[in-house]
Amino acid sequence: MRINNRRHNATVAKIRAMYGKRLSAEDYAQLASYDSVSEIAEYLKKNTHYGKTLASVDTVMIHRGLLESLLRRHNFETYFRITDFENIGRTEFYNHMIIEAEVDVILSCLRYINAKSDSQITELPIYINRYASFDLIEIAKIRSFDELLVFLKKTPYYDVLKDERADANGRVDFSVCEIKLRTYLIGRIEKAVSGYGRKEADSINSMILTDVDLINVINAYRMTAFFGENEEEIEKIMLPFSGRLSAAKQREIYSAPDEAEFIRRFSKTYYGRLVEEMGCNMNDLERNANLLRLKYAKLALKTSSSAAVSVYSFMYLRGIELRNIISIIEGVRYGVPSKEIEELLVI
Amino acid sequence: MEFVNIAGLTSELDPVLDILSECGCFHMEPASNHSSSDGGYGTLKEENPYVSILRLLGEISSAAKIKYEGADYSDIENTDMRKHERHLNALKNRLNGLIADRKAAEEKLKAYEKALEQVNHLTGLDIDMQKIFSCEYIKVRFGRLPADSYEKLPYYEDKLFYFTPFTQEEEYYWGFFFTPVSCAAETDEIFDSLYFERMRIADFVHGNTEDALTELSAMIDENRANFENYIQEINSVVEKEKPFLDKLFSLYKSQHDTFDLRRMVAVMEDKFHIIGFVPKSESERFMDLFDEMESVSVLMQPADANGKLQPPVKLKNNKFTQPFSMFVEMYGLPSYNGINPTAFVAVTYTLLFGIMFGDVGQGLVLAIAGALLWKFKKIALGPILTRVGISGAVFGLLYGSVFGYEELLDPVYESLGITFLPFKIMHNVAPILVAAIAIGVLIMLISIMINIVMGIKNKHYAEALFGNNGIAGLMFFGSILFGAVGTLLGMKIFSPVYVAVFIILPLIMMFLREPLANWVRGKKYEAEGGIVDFIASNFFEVFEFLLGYATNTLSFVRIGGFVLSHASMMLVVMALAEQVSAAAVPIVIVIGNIFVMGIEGLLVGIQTLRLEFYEIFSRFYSGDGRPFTPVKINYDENIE
Repeated sequence: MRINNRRHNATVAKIRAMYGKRLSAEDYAQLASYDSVSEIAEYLKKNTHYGKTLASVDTVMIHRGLLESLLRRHNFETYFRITDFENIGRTEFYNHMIIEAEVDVILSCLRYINAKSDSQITELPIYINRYASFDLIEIAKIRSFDELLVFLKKTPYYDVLKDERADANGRVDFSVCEIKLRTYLIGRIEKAVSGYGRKEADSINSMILTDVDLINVINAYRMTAFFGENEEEIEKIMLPFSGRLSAAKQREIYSAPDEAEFIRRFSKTYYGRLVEEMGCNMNDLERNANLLRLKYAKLALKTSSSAAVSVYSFMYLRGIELRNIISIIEGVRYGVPSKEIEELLVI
Repeated sequence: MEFVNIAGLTSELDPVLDILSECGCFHMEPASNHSSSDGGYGTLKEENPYVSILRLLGEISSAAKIKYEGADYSDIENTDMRKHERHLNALKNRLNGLIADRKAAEEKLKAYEKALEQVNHLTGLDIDMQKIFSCEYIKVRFGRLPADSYEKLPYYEDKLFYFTPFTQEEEYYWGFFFTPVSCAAETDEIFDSLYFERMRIADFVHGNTEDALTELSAMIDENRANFENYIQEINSVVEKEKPFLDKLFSLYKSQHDTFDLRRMVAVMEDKFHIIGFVPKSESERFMDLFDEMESVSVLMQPADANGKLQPPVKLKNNKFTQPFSMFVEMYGLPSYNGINPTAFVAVTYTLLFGIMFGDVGQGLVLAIAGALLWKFKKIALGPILTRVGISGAVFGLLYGSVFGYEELLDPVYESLGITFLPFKIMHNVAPILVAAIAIGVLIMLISIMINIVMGIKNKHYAEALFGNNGIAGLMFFGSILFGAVGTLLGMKIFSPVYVAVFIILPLIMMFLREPLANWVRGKKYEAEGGIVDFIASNFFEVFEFLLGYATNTLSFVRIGGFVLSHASMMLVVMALAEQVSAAAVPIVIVIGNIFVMGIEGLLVGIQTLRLEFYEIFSRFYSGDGRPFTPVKINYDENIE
């Protein structure tokens, strides 16, 4: 059955209006020029769309962790404000934000298990508890992988992780689990959009696969440049999808012996040519890939009249905005000069 | 404009500078750059003695949050600057003392208000707060916990603490947590990780909530009165001193600015030399100002007497055109010997705006709004709005449109026996568009002719004779238009001779405009980049000229477009009015008219200005003149 998703023009218009309130380059420059988290919080409270969320916050006393948590919650609530606007949240596709949040919680749990730490509770996004398929308070009490599997038994994540085992030290292969969970998430989205019209489904799939291509490139680049891993090791942690980078092309890039060769091979790809057209420094591969992801999301938001495409790209752009703010907070806390902070931003 | 040379003994310099800064008609130039360099003239390098007292005045104004106004200082008898400085220093110290007291009172007030806010969150607590905090075996903390963190508390069910919320406010729960002294460190750590914001209840808070609230309210009232007393005291000091401060500021600012003029004076031994410009109409009055100074000589010369100095420009306009000088100044003033385009702008702008904004009612409203803006706010756009509004009303009469009612004037014309009016816009779309192009063509032809006259006058022969806005361009553009109109009327105009003489020949002239101009001047021409480069660049330039004629002509179609869009928008308003109940009709009509007037007024205003700047000015006007800025005292507090 085809789902007629193109009717929600009001949602598309609302999203574009909300996108109009995004942080500008001037906002970022202003934020990067501050010396403390308090000043950043004060600016966000007084001058940006985060103002309402931060209204009751005492910016002088605010802790960085609380600020980041509130900004994350703001984005999550924005998502529900959009999907509630014309009640479009009931279809499967619009669950992806919750599934993604659940995947992140499970991955966070795995990290704490591997680190043998019991402080996961502090970073849990408790605001998703009423939407989640499991209790976040309970998952925070888990201390081993076996307990986690038992806990997830009644959720779809059990089947995803059931073949994994912890080693003698209780550690589990985090990378493999992450690939499996992210693959599951992408599969769910692809399945959800298969009910849409062809053009709309293609649009969403293209966005997701472009994103996957670039995530894979970034991860492979890190493994080559920083850890000197070989092609076989790299392929193990690649998401098993490909967009404009064919499997053969991917293999060719991953088999690069060093960083310089990796960048050279990447520059010959479709994405590499785009980076060249954008006039970016080819050596700054990770930032270039993120700029491309930003460019695609902006283009999708600007050109598509589909609610699903708009929601997906808008939330992606909000995610980038949040990451930029977090980069600024980190930079300011560690006393990085504002010019250097601005160079890290994806805008 | 007259070029003025003033020379005299340096002992007379101060009175001369006083006269110059007060006369209001002298545009001063730095004389040291233009006095004969071999004559040994130098500049005066002295520190301005009035800077310090002006800074002092500035400090007082920022402390007292006042702004000085220009005032008559002639009644200040004692002009002893040191005495004034002493007075100002004493005033500054007094103000600073009062401001510090006010700040201390304000901080105290804030502390009490904060305590009150905290205690307000403990409504219902019937125990002395100080007793709670003095428990021996239990540690008690008061503060607020983020709502998200509050939801995480069940995770710590096995820990020995108890959080009791008193109130919930937006994102926070206010309350106490209690924990045994032995677990205090661990519990504090947990609450830190949950972003608990601990508040320390001030020592001055006593008793249970009710008692504490009563006591705090009384303390707040007392301190607020105290705080307001300080404000009143500061205000009364400022109010008393302000007139005198205005006078002091005016006196010393005037002396400061006059002294600053010394930087533009050239001096040699005991003589000074000042140069500048005075409008011709003021020259006699200006000369008279120096009659009583025997050692000072004033020499008037023609404006272009000093070849290195471009004379400044003061636009002369009549009452009708004066407001439009704003647009000309926006683009740039004409050069001294150039043409003043204000009258041309005034006529074309008024005409084009009126054509596009034709509605009797809306035009008159715009005219009245413009008059009010000028009368009460002195907004420079006001008089322009008045003129273009009247023009719009006149064209509205021709179109028969009154606030969007297109049939209202029909009976009037019928009774007068005028059959060709009103000119119904929506029934005459094609004639309107053709008329728009015709108006555009006429304006372009006039602009080209002005350029030819100005070019010949300024000996710019290449442009005047052979340029696209010169005689060649006029021949080409005019003959094409003449031919096109003639052909439409059934005449056979494009004969081979006509084409060769009036179309191909001008094109060749434009192509060879630089060599031809040199030939007229009697100079030899050499192509800079070689013959191939010459052919290529001139080919494309001529091609661009041709495109320019076409696009510039079509650009005037917008006049017709806006005539139609104005009428169409009002048609929509009328259609909407028909859809609503009778009671709502006036509301729809009024709002619709306001909306259309706002949108159309803005669009038409911008589009007409665009036509002026791009299609008219670009043909004959360069805007490279210097404004005439007479020396005067600037009563701005900022000093460099």
